[in-house]
Amino acid sequence: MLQYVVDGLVLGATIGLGAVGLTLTYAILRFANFTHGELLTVGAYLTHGLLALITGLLGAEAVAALGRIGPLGFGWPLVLALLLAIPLTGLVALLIDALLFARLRGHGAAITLVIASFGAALALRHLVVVAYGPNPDYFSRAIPIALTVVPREILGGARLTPDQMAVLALAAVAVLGLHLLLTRTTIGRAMRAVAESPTLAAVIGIEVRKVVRWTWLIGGGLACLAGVFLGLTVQIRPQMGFDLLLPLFAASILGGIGSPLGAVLGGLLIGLAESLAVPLIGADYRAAVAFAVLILVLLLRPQGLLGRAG
Amino acid sequence: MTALLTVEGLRAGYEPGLDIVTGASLALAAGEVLALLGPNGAGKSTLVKALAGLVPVRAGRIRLDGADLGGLPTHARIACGLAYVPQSENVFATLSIRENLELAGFRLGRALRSRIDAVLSMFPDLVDRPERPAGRLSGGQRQMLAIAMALLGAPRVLMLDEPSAGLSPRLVAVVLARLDQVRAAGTGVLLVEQNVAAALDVADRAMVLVEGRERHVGPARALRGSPLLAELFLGAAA
Repeated sequence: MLQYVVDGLVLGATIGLGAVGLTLTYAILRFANFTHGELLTVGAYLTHGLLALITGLLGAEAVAALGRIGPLGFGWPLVLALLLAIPLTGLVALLIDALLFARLRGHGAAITLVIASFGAALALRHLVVVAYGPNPDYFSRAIPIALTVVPREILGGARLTPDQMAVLALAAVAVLGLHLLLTRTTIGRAMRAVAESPTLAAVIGIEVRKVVRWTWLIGGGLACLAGVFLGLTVQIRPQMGFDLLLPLFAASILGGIGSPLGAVLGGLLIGLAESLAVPLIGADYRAAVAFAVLILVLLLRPQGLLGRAG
Repeated sequence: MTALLTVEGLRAGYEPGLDIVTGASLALAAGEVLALLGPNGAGKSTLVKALAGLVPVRAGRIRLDGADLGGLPTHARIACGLAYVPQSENVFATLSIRENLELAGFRLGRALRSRIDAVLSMFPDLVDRPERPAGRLSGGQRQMLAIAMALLGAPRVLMLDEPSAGLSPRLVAVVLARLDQVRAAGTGVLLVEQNVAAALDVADRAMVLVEGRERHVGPARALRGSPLLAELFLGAAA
């Protein structure tokens, strides 16, 4: 049983990080962005492509000589590729905004933007298929060896691969960093103000367009991180972001739309619910259980777990 | 009188081809309170929103201390020394008093704390329990918080859009009495008001706006009890 909890936390950390970007863009731009799932895919593939580029530039021998980081299934070249892919994915999000959403904002209802984002998501997914093909891929061909973190005697015990441990640790660091950014920096405070009221934010002197740009950069960067986490713990494939889209929405709604920490908490709960559903009612119903949790929480607390009542 | 804010021939409106402000001009000196009066729909609120950059301006010039504000977005006008307090939704309702003030002074850096203290000394009602959510404040306290937020950046010109709306007569007097301190600090105040008596009590001069342009400008004292006001507000002069 404990193993399912641990697996749920790993999946939940990925969902939570992905949901942060979704909840931020919803809070600040006031529309449900279906493109967000594809940003996870784009981030994972950009990282994969950059990893291949770095390997090509350095040579396979040099990359092999660098070796892996401790017991992890990947080495420094992947870290470098990820650090480059995070801002690049943010730039992809900015580009989509400039080409599509910015032109539609202020010309019609939010549903126009939602439908446009659905179209952009389809286009992005198929661009990835054209560029990389439809088959799954991996960041590392190393066979992961799970380590015992809780002995079998305690609730059946739990085992985690080093990569899963790294994902949990890095997700915690990313969430802490985001929290500090939102609460301690000028741009973070400005983002909270725009989320509350764009007009009042402008009236107190905030450059709303700059805040919108930062929102895309941060949301895209976190989506890239979540995509790479999914690639490290499962695999990368063109459908990966789309398949995670509903859990991403569920996590951001469950946590309270507009609350980044709520999205992380919602992600962890959705991950846990999906994972714990497997031994209880079977893998076929795991997605249904996550949504049952969502409905239950919203019936009891309509504004979500950490959302503020309007 | 040296004008701090000058507006010449301003035309502005929400929809293209439908101007609400139809050629208004005004001049405001440092430390002066200018009341903008007029019947409903005269364009008073639209005028100050246009000055704040929130309503498209079709023609005219806006200069603050010699600098041309025309074409600047709202945040840049605020940075130039203009401050605007909207009539409604003028505080972040889900945030606390302290959070509202910190957000409004986000650019002040290390000076933030001392500026908050300085502004709060004008509004003692807000000092008690700063963790109260702004949405739960009384109408008067909310107006005071909104004005305090606007004053944090020590603006050259403060524009208030109907600060008395929804307040009891006692609170109107309390809120408007604070403008004496604002005026004493050298800030020019543009006061949009429906409550003519209260506005004329606090203003130095008054401008009556009818159909988007000035119908009368003069000392506030001279306008008090003037038959012109009754005539304008009853619509006879339209």
